[in-house]
Amino acid sequence: MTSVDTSGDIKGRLGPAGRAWRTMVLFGLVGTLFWNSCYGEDDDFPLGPMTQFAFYVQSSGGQINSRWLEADTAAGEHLKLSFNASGSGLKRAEVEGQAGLIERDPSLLQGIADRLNQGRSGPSRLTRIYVVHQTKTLDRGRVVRTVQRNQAVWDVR
Amino acid sequence: MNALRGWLFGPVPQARIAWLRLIAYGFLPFDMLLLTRSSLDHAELPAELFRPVEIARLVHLPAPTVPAMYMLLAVVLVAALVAVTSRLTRPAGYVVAAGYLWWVLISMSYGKVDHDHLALVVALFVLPTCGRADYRDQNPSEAASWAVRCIQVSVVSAYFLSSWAKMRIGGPDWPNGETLGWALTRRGTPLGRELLPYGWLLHASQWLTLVVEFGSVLLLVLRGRPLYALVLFFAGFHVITYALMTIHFLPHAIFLAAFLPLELIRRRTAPSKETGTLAETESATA
Repeated sequence: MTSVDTSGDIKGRLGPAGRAWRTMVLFGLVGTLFWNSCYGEDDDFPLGPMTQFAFYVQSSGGQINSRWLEADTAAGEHLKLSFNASGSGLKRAEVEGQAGLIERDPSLLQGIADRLNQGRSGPSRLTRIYVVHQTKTLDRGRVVRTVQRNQAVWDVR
Repeated sequence: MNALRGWLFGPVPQARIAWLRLIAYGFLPFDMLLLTRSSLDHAELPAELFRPVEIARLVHLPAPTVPAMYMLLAVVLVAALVAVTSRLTRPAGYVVAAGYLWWVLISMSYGKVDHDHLALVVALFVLPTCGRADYRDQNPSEAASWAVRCIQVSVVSAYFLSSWAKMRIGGPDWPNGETLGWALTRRGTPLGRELLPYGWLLHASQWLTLVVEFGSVLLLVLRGRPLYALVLFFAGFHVITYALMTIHFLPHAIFLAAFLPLELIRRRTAPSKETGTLAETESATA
């Protein structure tokens, strides 16, 4: 049954205090979002700035950088690891966000290898793990050159 | 001043809050078990990789552990189940809001943040302020109006401030650059990669994106069919970005529903003699 108060009175009418704090909260939210959009960075999550795809890529000379994880197994196989966190524990974008830190301290890859080696034994165990950095260079909007290097390498203990 | 008050508190039926709760709390299992499941995966990594974002640092959020994250998952989902059934809506709702914020802060504290969670986080914090709400409760409420406006503002902000960021970071020449080509090269679907040779089309898409994101403020002022058409347009925009590069923005996109008169769903299915007069509330909806 649909219930409606037909008396004309608003049941959910707010008092002055209720209106005041709600108004302040909304203004605070909007103000914070705009402030962070002007001066903030991703560190201000979840209150902006909305930087997704906000960067500029030049048509000629622009670069498309990608980083991901690869690994060697005890059997000599070379694997490209999952881009999802359910694989290595980090998503590709997170690997990219942490690549500088990992390059300075590749031992951080041990924890990722430990996670990946859970349930692996013998020849399938990972013995070496890589952060691979690929750079594609554009000319008039088209990829004309691809360079790939290992940004960090770690021998799994 | 009166116009602002009318806009903020022009009453909305409580029923819309009930539907928005169903959307928000009903979405949480999908979000926590699929979209932000990385909170569980991160817990298995060394604490040295935990790079807490500012709010997490302010509250001294510790690096996650596997038992703590599973416990948090269970608490949030059980509280959401309680809140969605309109029981203990305030305490359960605030447990959900705080718990989910903890969860999503962990998910975003490993080197990359996603920008599609603003509306969901805001919704989880404002919906409990409305108290009990039933799908058939057509009584107008100022508290409901404020909560709906907060969600609407967060949806519009995500669009508008995206374009703002493009101007701030990418500069005024952003639409003529190769950002969309960059995205399609990295994560384009087979369909999306088909577009890579058509630079003019990618540039036109970037111009369109910029215009509609800045124009999203119209969602806050339009009424009736023009508003619903714009909501449909933005929904289509998300469908297309998903088809081209598997970016769905779902935690944000589901709250396009906040612009719709959801309260009419049950009203239309109810017997006519029970629906009553809604002239007062209809003027303030959408």
